Amino acid sequence: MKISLSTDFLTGLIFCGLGATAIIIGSKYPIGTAARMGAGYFPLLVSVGLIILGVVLLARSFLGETEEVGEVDPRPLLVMLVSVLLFGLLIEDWGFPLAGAVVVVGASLAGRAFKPIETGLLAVGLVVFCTLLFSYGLGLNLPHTRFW
Amino acid sequence: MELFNDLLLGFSIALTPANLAYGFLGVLLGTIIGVLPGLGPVATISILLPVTFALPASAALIMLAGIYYGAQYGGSTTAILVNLPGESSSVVTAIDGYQMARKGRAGLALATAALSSFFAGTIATVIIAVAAPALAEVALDFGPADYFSLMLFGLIAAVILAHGSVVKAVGMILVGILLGTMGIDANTGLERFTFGIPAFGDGIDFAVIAMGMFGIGETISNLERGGESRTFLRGVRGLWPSWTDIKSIIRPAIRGTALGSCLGLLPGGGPVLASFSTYALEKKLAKDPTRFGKGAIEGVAGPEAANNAAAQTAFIPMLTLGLPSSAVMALMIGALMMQGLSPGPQLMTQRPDLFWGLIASMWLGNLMLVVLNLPLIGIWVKLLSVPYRMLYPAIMLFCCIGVYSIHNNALDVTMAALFGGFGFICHRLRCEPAPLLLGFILGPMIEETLRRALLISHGDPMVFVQRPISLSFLILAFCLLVVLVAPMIRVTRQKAFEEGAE
Repeated sequence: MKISLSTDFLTGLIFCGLGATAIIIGSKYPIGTAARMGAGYFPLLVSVGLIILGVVLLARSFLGETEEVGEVDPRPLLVMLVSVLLFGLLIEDWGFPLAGAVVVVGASLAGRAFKPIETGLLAVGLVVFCTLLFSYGLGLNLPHTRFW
Repeated sequence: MELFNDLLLGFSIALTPANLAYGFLGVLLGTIIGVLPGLGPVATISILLPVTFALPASAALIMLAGIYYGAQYGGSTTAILVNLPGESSSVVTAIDGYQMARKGRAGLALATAALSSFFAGTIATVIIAVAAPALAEVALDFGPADYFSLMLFGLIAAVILAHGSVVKAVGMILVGILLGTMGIDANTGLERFTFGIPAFGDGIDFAVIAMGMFGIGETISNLERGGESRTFLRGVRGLWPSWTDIKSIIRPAIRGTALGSCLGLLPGGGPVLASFSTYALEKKLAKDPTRFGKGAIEGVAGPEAANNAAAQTAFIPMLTLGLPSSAVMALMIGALMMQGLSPGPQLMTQRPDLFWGLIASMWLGNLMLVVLNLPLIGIWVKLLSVPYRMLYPAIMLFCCIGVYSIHNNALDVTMAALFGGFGFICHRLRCEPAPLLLGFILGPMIEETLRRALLISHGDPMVFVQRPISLSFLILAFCLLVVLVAPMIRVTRQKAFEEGAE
């Protein structure tokens, strides 16, 4: 996937978007005065600053030559995020052993060199190691790791 | 004599078997993860941070400091053996260190790095022990307005050393500050940006952001960049330097320590600036500058001493003012806050055991590094030969466990995934994540001091220029801004980096 937009343009959009969102959500917080600031005063100040910087970046991307984003491979991003999200979904009900194995396999899938047997062994080994180290060794409370 | 007693107290804390063991564990874990290419100290500390949550405050800090030194040292090992600097401050070490390794002097390069780091660490520990109490006394006079200006100065200084665009770095700081306002507002009790989710009442945990952006985000970037081909040297021989080697190490190490200790105090990439400028200095002083870049031992000794000294004196503003001068120190402050402690001038009087224990453990940590790393170098070399495709799934698993175990809350894992994605996008858009973390940590403090300063002055903004301390920080900040904006100087800054990187 090739993105031929400039990095400045996209960063500017993100800054403006974040600033605008914060202002919209924050519009219901009382602003108060400088001497007695309400909850909305400081976020408003920061959001306005962020939007100004965003506009500067947008303007710069139109005025001058700036670096393009270029080739982006979405696969590592998507696969990795899905596997971390799955860890979050699985850990409480299905327990750490399954959730942990899912992350290891998912992370391996996110890379280019995926080897099924090696990954399987790695997943089992890491889950056993982490259970011993974190749950028994360091006393962290990982779900479904207390077998005895 | 008081200093002696304080140090004695410190060593009595740091030398308890439990704390010694945690320090050792920290150094060991830090080195293991730091050796892995692509993971610098910030990522290492964020990944290992949750391990310390269950510990008492002094043990946690001692272990974190150990992780920090270990990671820093591990980064130099990778730089020398594989020519892949773990983070920006060991870029310079890679230049001559890797060339030494290629000439069959890898052992000597590693020993030089370890010994000059140890030397610098020892001196810097003494500097901290002497300077920090004095500075903390001065800091007790600081009012809210002074703190506000100081933090403003710190943030602007941090921007100077961020690579790439200044506007983007400032923007990332503001995004961080904005993220920091999430949660219940301490002054009015109103919920801000919580989206009605009760777990957001305390705001986002900074470990979630750190691990998401540095741990997950950087791993995704590494994968996306594709498999790197690594050529490195298996046989490491000739570890111990000869007397002539030691003689050629000692002067650059002293100069590096002096320069590094001063530069480490400055907010903004202390160790990076220190190692680059020491390299430049050594090159200027050398009788035959052409040797540099081809395996000059001074090019390893000087910068390694400098970045270690700077890494350590960076603790001074953190411990005395509560002001983080780098992303690592921001992580340390976060760790302190999680232990229910607020860093600042009161820390030393309220918890002298913790303060002096940490200082004593700094020196012990440096000692352990030398004792641990030189004999174990064979293991680090083996670790480097494990293929990346097997390492990063393990790193991801550690991140997930770490994030989950902060509050045993699956929502944190979801947030970390989102920040991982955001971190990757920022990376592709050439925005550095470190300023965001700095802004996130400083944001609530900035808001609090701004509010209090203006409350005291009845809304009069002149308070910031009427107080002499505040005014001097503002003038300094303004000077820095002028330096930043003046294009001529920016070109020079570019040149300095290029010269160092050649």
